[in-house]
Amino acid sequence: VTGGGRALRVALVPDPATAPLAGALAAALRGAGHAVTVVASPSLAAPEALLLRRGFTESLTCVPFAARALGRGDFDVAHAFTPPGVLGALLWRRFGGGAVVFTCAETLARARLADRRLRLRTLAAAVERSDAVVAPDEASRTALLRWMAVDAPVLGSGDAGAHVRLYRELLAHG
Amino acid sequence: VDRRVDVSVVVPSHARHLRLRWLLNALEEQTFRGAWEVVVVHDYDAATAARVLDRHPLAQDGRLSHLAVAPGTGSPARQRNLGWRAARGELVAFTDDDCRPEPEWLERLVGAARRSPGAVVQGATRPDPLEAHVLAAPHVRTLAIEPVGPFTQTCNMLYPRALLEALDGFDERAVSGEDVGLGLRARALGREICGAGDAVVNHAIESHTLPGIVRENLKWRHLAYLAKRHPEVRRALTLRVFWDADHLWATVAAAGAAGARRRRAVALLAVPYVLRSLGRRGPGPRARAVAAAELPGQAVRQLAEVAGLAAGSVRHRTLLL
Repeated sequence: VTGGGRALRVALVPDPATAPLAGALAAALRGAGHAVTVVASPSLAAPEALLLRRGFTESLTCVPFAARALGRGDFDVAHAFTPPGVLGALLWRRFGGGAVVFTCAETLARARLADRRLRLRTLAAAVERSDAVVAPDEASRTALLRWMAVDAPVLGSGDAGAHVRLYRELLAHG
Repeated sequence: VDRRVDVSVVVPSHARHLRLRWLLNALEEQTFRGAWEVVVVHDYDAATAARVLDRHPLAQDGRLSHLAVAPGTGSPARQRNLGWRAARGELVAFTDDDCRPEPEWLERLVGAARRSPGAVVQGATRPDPLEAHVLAAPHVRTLAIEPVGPFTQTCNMLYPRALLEALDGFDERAVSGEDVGLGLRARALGREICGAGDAVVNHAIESHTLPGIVRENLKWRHLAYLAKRHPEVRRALTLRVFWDADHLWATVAAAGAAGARRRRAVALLAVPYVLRSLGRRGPGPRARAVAAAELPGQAVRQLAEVAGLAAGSVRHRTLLL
């Protein structure tokens, strides 16, 4: 394992839009000797369409799938890339899982902060209840600070070393 | 140095720290070029206040100050009173932590105040178009106000400081409707309330579960206090007793449902309520189907509101439903 210490078991929870970001991080972490699982958390098309029609935010149906997939594995860290993915990871943490990290892959904008039902609630939970929040780039960091009042570090998706340091720090603090 | 400012924006905040942050961002974008400040009165813990308020660019500019009250001790009236008394402006604009003023809001509000010295100014409030999807929820809370309205909700009002002093501010005995009461007292003093329809505030559209909206609306039971103190508010009510037409027809429908056990024909009293409710989502079969599905929940909600107001009426010995 690069940098010493035992190999970490990391679950990445992306959606289709953030899969490339998760893929780059998975490759970097594997290259550093860690065990990475990209968790599939599919949305159910018909219920999803119904929820959207009733004004709900996107991808809510993936939450139980993400939690179930995480529960089936043996992970130190669940790293999600969307607010619904974080909700699944928070459920997993509640029932004995490990640390939860949120990379806010979207650049937040006022128009999307509360545009649908449960959007603000899922976003707030992702930012305020995750063990750590990370920005993938400077634009995302600036937006997180402006809209969610959170000063998140910028960690590039290819930077395995910085991610592993963050994971180990979270695990050390239990 | 206690330098005076042209206008102070006073915001009470409770349990909405993120929306408060968004409001501050909207205030940061104001086009008003005079001297102005923001005073926030909140009940957040020190860490949240530091994160949301102290590190905001308006605070770093010296334009934002905030006062904390102990959790559980705040009320809109008390917090607004603390806010305007701490403010330095000759004019005091009020808005809420669930609002998003348009960039020209303050400029236009102050412009209207300067055209009518001494007057109270009411701006326009509309459901936030950025949150329009949320209207698909069965139970939402938002506000639409075209000035000058009968009520003077402080999501978008401006008062001269001298008038606030003359009125001794908001009535802190009023748990709700304190803003309406202040406007009524200003009118009783002979002050004009001017409309500034171009000073626009966008109000959040928040969806609730049925138990959530019932709990949320329980606070309106205290409006009986307002009706007791200011009987003139009844002019804006339905039949001078019902808060709105929904409450009237829900009450009539409930009477019909109760009376139908003895005489089935009495159930017809529910027809106006049902017809009215079926139209609330607009025309067309799909909208009517959605409205029909939502009707039981709406009825529960409205009857809970009426029951709450009835309890308030007993407490304050005046009838408001």
